[in-house]
Amino acid sequence: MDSVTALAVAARDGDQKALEAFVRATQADVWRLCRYLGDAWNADDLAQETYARALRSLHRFRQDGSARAWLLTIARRTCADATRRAIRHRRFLERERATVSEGAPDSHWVEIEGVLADIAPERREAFLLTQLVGLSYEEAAAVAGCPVGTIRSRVARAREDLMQSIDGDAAETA
Amino acid sequence: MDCDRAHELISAELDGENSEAESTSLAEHLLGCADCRARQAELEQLRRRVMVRPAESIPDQASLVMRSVGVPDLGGGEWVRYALFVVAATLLLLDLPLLFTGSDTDGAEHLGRHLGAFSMALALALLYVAWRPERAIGLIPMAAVLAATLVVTAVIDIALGRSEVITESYHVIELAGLVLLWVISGGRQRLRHRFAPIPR
Repeated sequence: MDSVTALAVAARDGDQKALEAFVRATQADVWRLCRYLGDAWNADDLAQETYARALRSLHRFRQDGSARAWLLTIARRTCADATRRAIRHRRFLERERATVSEGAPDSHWVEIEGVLADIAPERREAFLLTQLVGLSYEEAAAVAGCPVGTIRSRVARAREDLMQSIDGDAAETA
Repeated sequence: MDCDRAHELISAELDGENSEAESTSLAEHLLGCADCRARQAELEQLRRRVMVRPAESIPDQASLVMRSVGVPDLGGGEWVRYALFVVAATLLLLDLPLLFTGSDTDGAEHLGRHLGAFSMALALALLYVAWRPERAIGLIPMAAVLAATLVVTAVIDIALGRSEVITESYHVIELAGLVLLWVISGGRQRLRHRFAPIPR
């Protein structure tokens, strides 16, 4: 059992220090996933809601899986629900999007971040899980609920899309 | 191998997800395909850009999460639990005879049993908290009222000469139990939270 899963099991059995350690060990991954899956929605709120949901179903957690993957699956679902709700808040989203792309123009990352928002959601998700969160293809497949081969091709397609968008932007500004 | 298939293998190769056979056949394809070699260099650069992205300032969720589930930061160290255990055990030993014999004072045997029952309830509740400290806050109202009532009546009875300081002094144990409960429940942090603005 990996250390994060061990913490989750201890937390499930009532150890509060383990619960806190579990949150601290996973919060960067959860926040990052929320930040980029949630369509620039408020990542803090999404991360909070992810943990609130996770705690509600923690008693059902079984140790045969990875707790990190279990938690990220919940984060993914939380973001999907929020995106559906976000249709009502489209104006807010557009404002957020504008501030994101206005950020420090000298950073390569800002450029990637900008085009990341424009690629197909399932490709973006595969890219985030493997490149930003750093999951293996197998773990990412468990979180996304699809075969490993699908993650493999989605990551490759996401890379193609990103390359194309970045080249396209460069051509426009040139 | 066609170049589309090669692109997928290049991507997987960057992530270390190819089997040995896949790596070998990709290497063979790359030897003979300048386009795919160029693509590999571009994707490697993309991967590096993602890796060296600026650090995000990720807010600490842990304290918010712990509070959202109503879990207070428990106060005191491990010693508080042992102290509470000692207090509860003492209370139990002192009052257990009262439950069975009724009373050591004349007459009011049945009333004595009632008193014994209350004391035992408190003692067992304190033992439970020593075992599960997160339950401390739930017991505070009852323990506080009990301790306050005992102290007030003890003071009145001593003042009126109906009781001796010595005989009433063992209510210090109930008071000690209350104080330990308060410490264990993280009472001070609780008050601070109540008056602090809730961070968003």
